[in-house]
Amino acid sequence: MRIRLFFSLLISISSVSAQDMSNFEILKSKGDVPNEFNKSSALKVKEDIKAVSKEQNRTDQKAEKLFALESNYLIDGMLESGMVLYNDELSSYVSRVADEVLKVNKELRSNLRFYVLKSQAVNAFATDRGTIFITIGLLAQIENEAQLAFVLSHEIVHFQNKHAKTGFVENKRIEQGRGEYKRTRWNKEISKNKYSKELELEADIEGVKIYLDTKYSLKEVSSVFNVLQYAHLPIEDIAFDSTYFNNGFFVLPENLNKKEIKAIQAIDDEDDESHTHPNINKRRAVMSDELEGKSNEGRLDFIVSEKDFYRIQSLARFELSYLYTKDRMYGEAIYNSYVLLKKSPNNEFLKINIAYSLYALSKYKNEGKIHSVLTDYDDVEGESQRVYYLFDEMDKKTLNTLAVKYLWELKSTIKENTFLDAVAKNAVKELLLESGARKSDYRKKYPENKDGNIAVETDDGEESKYDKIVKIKDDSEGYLKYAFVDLFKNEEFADLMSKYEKEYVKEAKGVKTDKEERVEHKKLEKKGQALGIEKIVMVAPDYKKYDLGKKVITQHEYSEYKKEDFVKLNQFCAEKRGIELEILSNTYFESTDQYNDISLLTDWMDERFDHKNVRILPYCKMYTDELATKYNTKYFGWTGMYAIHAQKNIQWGYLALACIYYGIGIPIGIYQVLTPENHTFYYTYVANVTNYNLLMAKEDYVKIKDNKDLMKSYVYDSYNQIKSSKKPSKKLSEELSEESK
Amino acid sequence: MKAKEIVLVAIFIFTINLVAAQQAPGYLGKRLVLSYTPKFMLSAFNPNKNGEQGFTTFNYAHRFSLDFAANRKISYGVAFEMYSTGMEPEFTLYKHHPASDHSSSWGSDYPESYYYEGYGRLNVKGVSLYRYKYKKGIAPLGKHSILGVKLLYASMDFSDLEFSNTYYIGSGSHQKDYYNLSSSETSVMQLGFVWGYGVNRIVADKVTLRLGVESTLFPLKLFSMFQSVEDDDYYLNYGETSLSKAKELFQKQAIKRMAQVEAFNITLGIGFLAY
Repeated sequence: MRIRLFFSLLISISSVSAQDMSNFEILKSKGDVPNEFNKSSALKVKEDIKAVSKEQNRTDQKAEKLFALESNYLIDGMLESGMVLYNDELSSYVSRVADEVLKVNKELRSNLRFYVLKSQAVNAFATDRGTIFITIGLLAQIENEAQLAFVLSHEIVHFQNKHAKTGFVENKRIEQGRGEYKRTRWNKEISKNKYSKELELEADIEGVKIYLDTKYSLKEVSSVFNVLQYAHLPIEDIAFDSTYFNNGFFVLPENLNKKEIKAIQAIDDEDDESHTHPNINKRRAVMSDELEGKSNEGRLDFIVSEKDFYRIQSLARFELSYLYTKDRMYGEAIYNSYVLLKKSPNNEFLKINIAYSLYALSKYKNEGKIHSVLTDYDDVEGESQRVYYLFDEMDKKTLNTLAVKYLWELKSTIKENTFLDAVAKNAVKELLLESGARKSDYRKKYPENKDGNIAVETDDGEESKYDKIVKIKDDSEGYLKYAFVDLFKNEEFADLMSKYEKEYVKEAKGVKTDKEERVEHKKLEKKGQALGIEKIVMVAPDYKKYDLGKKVITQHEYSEYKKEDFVKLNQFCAEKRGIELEILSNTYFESTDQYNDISLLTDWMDERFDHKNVRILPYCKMYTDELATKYNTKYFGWTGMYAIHAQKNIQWGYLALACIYYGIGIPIGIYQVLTPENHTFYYTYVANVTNYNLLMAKEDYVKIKDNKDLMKSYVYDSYNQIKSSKKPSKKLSEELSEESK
Repeated sequence: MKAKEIVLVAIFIFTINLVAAQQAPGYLGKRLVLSYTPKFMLSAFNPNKNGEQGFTTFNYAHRFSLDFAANRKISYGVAFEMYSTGMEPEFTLYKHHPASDHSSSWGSDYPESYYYEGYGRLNVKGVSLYRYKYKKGIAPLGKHSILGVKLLYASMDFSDLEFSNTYYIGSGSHQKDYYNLSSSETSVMQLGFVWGYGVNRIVADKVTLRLGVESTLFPLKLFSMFQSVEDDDYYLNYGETSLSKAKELFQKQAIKRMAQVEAFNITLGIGFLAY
């Protein structure tokens, strides 16, 4: 009953929330770059370490210092990653709600900064330095401003009471078995979770006190727990109709439609011993104690702006489609977009999202890796289970046919979309080269009866054994035969079908043997690439040095310093090799534009890497195409170096060996014993962000120190390969020929 | 075209090629390394050129080389090297006097015999071709394996070695004659195969430092370093061939000595990144 009420409420609110999202663009930060993004992490750590109280015992002091170090680098890592939104509509709205929540405590408000985190998870968290993050997932799920206000109140208490630090210090005590934890050696994790739950309840109780000082509705304190309890569900639970993909003769078989779905479990009092948060039942109970006797009169669901709330909710929900797709959660992406299409049936962004997800699923299906991108339908509750079932059960040919059909029909309605165009063409290639479908499997005309009307083909008497086999195949795949009848009228589509059909025959003849591939790999290793690139943009060059003999803070400081050197070295080598190099550094953001660009490019690279060997046009290409125009090059690179330096334990075996081989062995023995251990890893990836191609993936690992000569050698080699054009590399030639076509 | 002109043209083409190819790959575009590499060879079981022997004495060799990074992973090098090492004759060659041919025992019939006293010196010069393979690093930097062929020419310096021939002249008397062997008479040439392992560093973008170990094996004389050069055949030899046999024995010993010296070397080089 409670569940039904919850969803009916959700749907009724959603109906109010229809916003004009026809020109939706993915969310980006705006305005000036906040100071904390550009302040050195080492400096922040030093300030925090200075503030550590010396009145406590030394072990706790040490733990606090370690916390200062770890937390600052963790938060800054997040800020530098481009995952954070600032000064945009969402974070500005959250800040306005925070203003309202802390209307009576302006001093506290001045210490806080609110950012939105580009993550589909339903979450919010506070740091001790006053940075509070709210995820897109949470903003997409909450139902009103009052719920957001309570979440903020809760997080503000975490900040106020320095819960992150106290939790960290307490965890160290538990790990070390100090104080009251002397006897809890065998259940440390449970002790940690117990303490974490105490902090969460404290944040709930004190959060309510902050909340009570506002004019927000008290009812929402309880309902916000619904959001948390059902955070694993999509934004809405509406029936998924698989006939959505049907049209004309193309009707998906009935067996792909899941008859019964798994009901949503309404468990709110599960065993929370292994959880960091108390179960919802306990939290509700504590809240109801706190609110007992309090009047809700005059309290509201919206104070700042109802209209703005629904706008940011819609933005978050649309953004969710982007996040799901780029994170390769294609089932979630399709269902989320499907839900949103109910309110915005003509939205191009959502349709492209679904089209791309179908394309990606077909690629993964062909590779036999569908389960790496599609959640197991047995793990899903509610209506969305049908989506996962549908694509799990669908065979390769059907899925590829569906992807091509959806993409090309969409392409005919959305003109001049280069991304859609590229994906649609690639889907045809995939269909004919990888799915097992042949051009002849698809009819160019609908069957006609004597009156000239469309009719289903009928049996006409005696059949041979082979006729029967063909008929069985035809019957089972009958719905596919007429999938492209209308599309064949499109000359471009028909030509592509013919082209890839011919290519299939050619490719079948020219398959490379393992030996040929090995020889090619060796040759490439020896000669390197010759990409012939004149201009490249290097994104967020990275450098980390871990000298294990030194303090952790010194290691970080040194890494920051060496990172600058590494950037300069890149510039030096590029100049020496005659390449135009632009560096998008994530150490200092000169502008928000730069921050947004790094964010997009990082998304592109993350997605590309997640795809591994699946040759697929990344979804993020849709946005990076613009960057190629902006920076006047299609070629972007990612480079970095990581070095570890550690003293060896004395190897007595080597010493013994040295003694045995006196004279010859002793220098080797001494060398082995006294020299420290060094590991250096260097990487450079170069990609054409307008397509799939990773043109260079250079990874070098050596067991020597990151000396200057080594760094120069590797970095120069990268730029040499990027610039050299004696013989255009096969990859680039292929790419150029593809582009010319 | 005369040979001199051909050489000039070849040098010209080679230089042009180096300059044109300066941009790739190498270290910051530089691919040619001129280097001097002293080699240290332990003289534990054989004397060095000064006749010293032990675990703390070494033979020293000098190598001048020119290495060229052909691609990211491979360098080719040509080197000239020379060294001197001591050579202590380990044999005495006897020859029976014709007068004692029919004696049942040597008794008073002394055989004719050659003696060698003091130390000889072996002067070795060689040219070699190398291939350096950089598995992890990028030529010419980093750890690398070495493969090569080496042609060695060894000649003996007998100036400190005394040769004498003592023979029976009758009436219980012997005569001792002194004579010389020329170094050209006992020279020897050998082809060996080199393998090794090394590491290169580059300082200030110009100077290269190399540390490595190398071993040269002479395949046709693979076990020569362990064999004694004495041969019973010589002991019973007749006629006038003793001196030429002595030359052969010296040659054998020279090969053995080279095999011992070249078996394990430590190299420490300094070079200059030219182009």
